[in-house]
Amino acid sequence: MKYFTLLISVSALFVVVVWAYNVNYETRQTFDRLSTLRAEIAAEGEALQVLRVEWAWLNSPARLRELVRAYEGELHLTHLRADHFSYAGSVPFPPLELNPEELWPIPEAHQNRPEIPLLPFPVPRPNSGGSLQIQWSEQ
Amino acid sequence: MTDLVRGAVMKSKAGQRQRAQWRVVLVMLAFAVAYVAAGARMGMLALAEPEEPQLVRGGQLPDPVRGEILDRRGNLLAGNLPGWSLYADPRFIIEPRETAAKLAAILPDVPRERIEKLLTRESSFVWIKRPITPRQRQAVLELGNPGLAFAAREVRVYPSGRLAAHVLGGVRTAHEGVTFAELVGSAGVEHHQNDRLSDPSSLAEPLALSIDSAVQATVEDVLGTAVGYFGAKGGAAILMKVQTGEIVALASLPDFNPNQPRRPYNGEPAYHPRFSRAVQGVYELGSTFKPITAALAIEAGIVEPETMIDTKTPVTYGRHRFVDHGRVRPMQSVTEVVMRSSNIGTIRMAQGLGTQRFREGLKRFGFFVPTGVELAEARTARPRYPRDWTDLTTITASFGHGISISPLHLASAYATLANRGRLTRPSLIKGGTAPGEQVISPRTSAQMMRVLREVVARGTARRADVPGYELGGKTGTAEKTRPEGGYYDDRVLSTFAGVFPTSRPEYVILVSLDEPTDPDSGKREASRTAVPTTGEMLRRIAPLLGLRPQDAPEQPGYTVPVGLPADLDG
Repeated sequence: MKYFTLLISVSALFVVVVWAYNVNYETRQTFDRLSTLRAEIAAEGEALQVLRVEWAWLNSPARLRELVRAYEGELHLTHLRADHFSYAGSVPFPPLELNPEELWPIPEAHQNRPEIPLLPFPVPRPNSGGSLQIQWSEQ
Repeated sequence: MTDLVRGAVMKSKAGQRQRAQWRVVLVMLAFAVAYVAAGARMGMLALAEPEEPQLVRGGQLPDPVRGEILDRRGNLLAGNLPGWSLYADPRFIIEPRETAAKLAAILPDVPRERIEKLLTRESSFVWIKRPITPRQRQAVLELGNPGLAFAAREVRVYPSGRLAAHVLGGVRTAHEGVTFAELVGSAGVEHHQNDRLSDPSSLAEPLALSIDSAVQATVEDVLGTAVGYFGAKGGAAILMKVQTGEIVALASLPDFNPNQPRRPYNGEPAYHPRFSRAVQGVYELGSTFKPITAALAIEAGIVEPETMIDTKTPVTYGRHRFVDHGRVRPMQSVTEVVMRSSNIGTIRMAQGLGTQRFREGLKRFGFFVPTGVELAEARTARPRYPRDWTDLTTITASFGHGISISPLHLASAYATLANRGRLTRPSLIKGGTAPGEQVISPRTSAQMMRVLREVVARGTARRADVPGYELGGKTGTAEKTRPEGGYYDDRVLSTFAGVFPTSRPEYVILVSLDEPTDPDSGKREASRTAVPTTGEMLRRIAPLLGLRPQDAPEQPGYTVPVGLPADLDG
C-alpha cells in the first residue's frame, strides 16, 4: 500500500512536470508569435500610411489635370459643363418588343426634346428582370 | 598533577572539542549555502532563455504623430509619412573633409562648407539634415561612416501640393530630439486646430474640412488663369454654403507649396505667398457694399425695391462732393441704384437711415469683428474703420469706402443676406455652424435676392450670367488706397460677390482681383475682369457641386414703377 501510494504520487508528479513544461513552452511561443504579429501589424500600418499618402498624391487634382492634358488625343476628356446634364428619357433603350407595361416612353421623350440626339451605340436595358441584354438601338 | 588540575584540564579539553565541532558545522553550513546559491544561479541561467531588447518587436503600435486632415469627401489633404533625420557625432567621424564632400553629393540642398563646418565642430551631436528621403538614407548608409546616424521621424506631407495651401497652412518641428519630435502647426488650420490634431486621444480620427478638393482645384485653376490673363498682382476667391457657412473653396494667389520650407521673401508684404488675401487681408471692397446698405434701408422700412430715388444732384458733405460715374440719370429705383451702381442713390439711402442705424446694422452683419473662421490668420484680420464714426464715414461706407474688411467678411454678409436674413458664420470644418440671429427679415432677404439677380441679368454683371444657374450679385471696383493717404488713379481692386441660385440660395461666390486690366479694352472695371472670371468659375463648379441647371421659364421683365416720391434727404 505504501509503495502503491508512492508510485501514484511519483507518476502524478511526473505528469504535472511534463504538463508544466509544455505550458511553459507554449506560453513562450505564444509570446513570441504575439510580438511577431505586433511587428507585422506595425509594418502593415506603416505601409498603409504610405499607400494612403501615395493614393492621395496619385489622385491629386493637379496631377489628374496633367494626365488629362497628356492623354487628350486618346481620351478627349473635357470639363463637366452645365449643358452635359440630360434627361433619362432621352437615353435610347432597345426596341420595345417585351412586356408593354415595362416600356419606356422614348419616342415621346425624343419628340419633346429633339435637340438631344439618340445614342448610336449599344446600351443595356435597365431593370430587365435579371438578364441585361445588349442590343443595337434603332439608330 | 593533582586531581584538581587534571579535572580543569579535562574540562578545558571537552570545551575545546565542543567548540571545534561547532566550527565544523558552521563551515559546512556556509559551504551548503554557497553551493545552493551557486546551483540556483546555474539553474536559473540554464532555464532562462537569452533575450535581447528589441525596438521593433517591443509590442507597442507606433501611433501617428499628428492627426490627418481630410476634405469633405474624404480625400486626404494632410498625412504623415515615416522618414528619417540625419545627425552626426563629430567625434566618431572618419576623415571629416572627405565625408563632407560625399554627403554634399548625396544631399544637394545642403552646401558642402556647411557640412564640413558641422562635422569638424567640437561637439558630440549635430543635425545635418532633416528630413531625408529613403534613397538618401540608403546612400548615407553605404558610406559606412560610424559617426553618421539616423533618427526616425514622421514627416508631414500634403499630397495635393499647392491645393488649398492657405487653408492648411503648414507645420514646423518643435522640441526635436533623437527619439522624438513634436510637430506644431505654423499657420492655417494646422495652427488653429493644433490641440485637436496633436491630441493623443483623437489621433485615429481624421479632421474633416468643409473644403471640396475638386471644387477647390477648379476655383484655383480659374483664378490662376484670370490672374495671368488680366495681369493681376493677386487674387482671392471664396465659395461658401449659404445655410451652414461651410467654405467649400478658399483660394488666394500668390500661393505656396506647404511641403517646402519657408523661403526668404523680399517683395511687398501684401503679396507674400503665405499671406491669405481672402482671410487675412482687409481691403476697401467698394460697390459690393451697396446691397448691404440697400438691405438695411429696406429693412428699416424707408424704401422698397421700387422706390424712386433722386440720383441727379450730387451729394455734398463739407468740401466733399460725391458723383456717379457714367451717364447721369435723374431718377432711379432702389433696384436700379444697385443695378447700375449709383453712389448718389446709395448715399441717400444711408443718409435716410442715419449714422446711428446704419452703424448698428453693419454691426449686426458682423463687419466690426474678426470672422472667427478656423484659421490662425483670421484672428488678426480685424476690420479697419475710423474710430470716430462721423456722418462722412456713413456716406463713404455706404458704397464701401472708408471701411476695410476681409473678402471673407463680405462673403459671410452675402450669405446672411441669402440665408433668409439669418447671420451666417463662416466655418472650415465639415458640418459648419448653425445660423445665428435674424439680421434682416426673410422678406427683405427675398427682395434683395431679386435685386441682386437684376444686377447679373441686366446690370453691370451680365458677363457672369450662366444660363440655368440664376446667379445674382454685385460688382465692385475700388480704387486702392495709397500708403501715404489718398487713392491711386490707376490701381483698383475689382471684386464680384454673388449668390446662386437666387430663387433658392445655396452658395455664395466671391472673386477678387488685385490690379487687373482687361487686355482687350484696357479697362479695369470689375464688369470686365472679376465678372467674367466668376462666370467661368460658376460654369465649371456648378456641375461639380451637383447643381443641375434650372430650365426655368423666362422671368417676366422687371418693370419700373413711376411716380413714387424720392424725398430721402432727411
